[in-house]
Amino acid sequence: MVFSFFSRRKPGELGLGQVFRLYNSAVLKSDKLLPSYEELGEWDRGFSKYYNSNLRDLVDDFEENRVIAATAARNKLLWLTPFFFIILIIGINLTIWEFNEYDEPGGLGIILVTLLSGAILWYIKRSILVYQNSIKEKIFPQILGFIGDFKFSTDVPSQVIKFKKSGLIPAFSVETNEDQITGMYKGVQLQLFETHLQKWKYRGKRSRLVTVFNGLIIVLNMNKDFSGKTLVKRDKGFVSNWFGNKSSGLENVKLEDPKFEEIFEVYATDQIEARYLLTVSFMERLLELADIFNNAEIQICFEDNNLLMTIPLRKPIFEPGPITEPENFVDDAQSLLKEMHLICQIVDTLKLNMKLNL
Amino acid sequence: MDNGTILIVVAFTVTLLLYILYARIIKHKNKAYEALAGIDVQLKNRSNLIPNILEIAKKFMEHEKGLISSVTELRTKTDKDYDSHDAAALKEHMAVASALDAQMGQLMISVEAYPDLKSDQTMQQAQLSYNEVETKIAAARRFYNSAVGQLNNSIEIFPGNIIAPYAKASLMPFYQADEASKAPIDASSILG
Repeated sequence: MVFSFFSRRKPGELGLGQVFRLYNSAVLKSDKLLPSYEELGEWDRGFSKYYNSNLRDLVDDFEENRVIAATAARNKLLWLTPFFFIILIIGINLTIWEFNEYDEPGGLGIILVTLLSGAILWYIKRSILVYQNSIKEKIFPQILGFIGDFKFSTDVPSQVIKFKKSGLIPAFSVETNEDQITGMYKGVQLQLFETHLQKWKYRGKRSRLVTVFNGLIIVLNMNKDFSGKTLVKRDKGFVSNWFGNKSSGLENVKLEDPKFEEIFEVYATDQIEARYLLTVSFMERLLELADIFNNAEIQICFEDNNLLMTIPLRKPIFEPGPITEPENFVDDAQSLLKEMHLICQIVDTLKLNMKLNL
Repeated sequence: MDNGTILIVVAFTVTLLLYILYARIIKHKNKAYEALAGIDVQLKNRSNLIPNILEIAKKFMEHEKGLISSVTELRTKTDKDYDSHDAAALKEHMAVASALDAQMGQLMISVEAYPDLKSDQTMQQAQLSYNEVETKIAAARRFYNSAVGQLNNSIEIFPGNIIAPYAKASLMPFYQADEASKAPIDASSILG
């Protein structure tokens, strides 16, 4: 079954859209209806009962907190709006003056407007972020409790360097992590977190940070013993694949599924082990996963009894719903359960939970 | 450039191309035999598991003696050495292995009819291990078919068909999954 991440009240990063919606006073109104959870599929079967017993009673408190946070953010927005226009006018005048006075203007006006607008936006967002973090810290672990023994943490230490030898992680200088889920599913140790990797690029005397990877890193500890390494990378055309093949020292594995072969390239130390891991159903699942993540460049490495998966994302996914809509945790739960279901399906498909000692 | 030089360049280029094709056929042939050896390793693993399964099954499945004995005989036949360079012997070896697949599949289905056996802890573990090794056999067969596909293509496409005899390479049979899984296997016909 293919489903979309973009539900009506979609979780996502705290963008300008949410801030602008705060001009509308209707966002401060609460929904008077008794919250309920409607199950949508196999991935949330039984959750409505769990919702009623574990989450529904928390809705009122969190809705109250939402209204307080939204009111605070709205008040800040309203009284800072005139300042923004004043800064804009000063910035425009400064730019015009610079163009008249200097042959090569330094862009002082643009820098001033950017910095001060950013500061205003950060100040407005701060009260929203405090509320949204409270959802992540208190509600997300409750939702995850439905699936298994999971912990959700917003404070994630640097650790990507240990995955570098997989060949999936690009060279980077700065690592920023957030939203980590750890726990067990059917006896399989699971860890996933969002990471933003940046690298310094030098151009003359100037240097700047550029993003080299932004997305999810998933690590599944497998109960099976592997002697080799199998890499599933995105197909990047003949020349790129050829060089990738030569540099990795692994053998190219040609699989039967033409659609899979069109999208992915597989390299391995052991041809049979690669096919043992990449069964027909696993290939189908991976294609489905790529589809669900908007054809993101999903890559996988099987090594040292671990499955490492990287999924680039345009937006962070483990985010609460917008502050501009009444809180009921329904969409938070739907998104989180869908995402976790997909990840847990990897465990089910590969039967990672079975220790067979062959 | 005189005619002699042109002739040397053309002859060199043709020889080089023929050598590349020859080397490719040899490479594909070796890969196919490597894949075949991979299947045999997994078949051996399965063969090692079967006595344990049969031992447990015998205690409960008194009415399946015929099935159990045919599995035993097919196992012995699968374990026998064969000449992998002889296409007929290879085909026969594959057929016997497929017949064992089918008979073992039948045995596993029959287990369902014996609740005591089905719930037996040792049997459950043996079944899991058996399924695992079956997955590995399937993986090895997929590799074999992929390698044989490449070999057969390189032999059948001109000028591969001319070079192949010099590389001592001939067409190899594909493993046909359907024949084994769809058709009911009459073990007696194979056992003779």
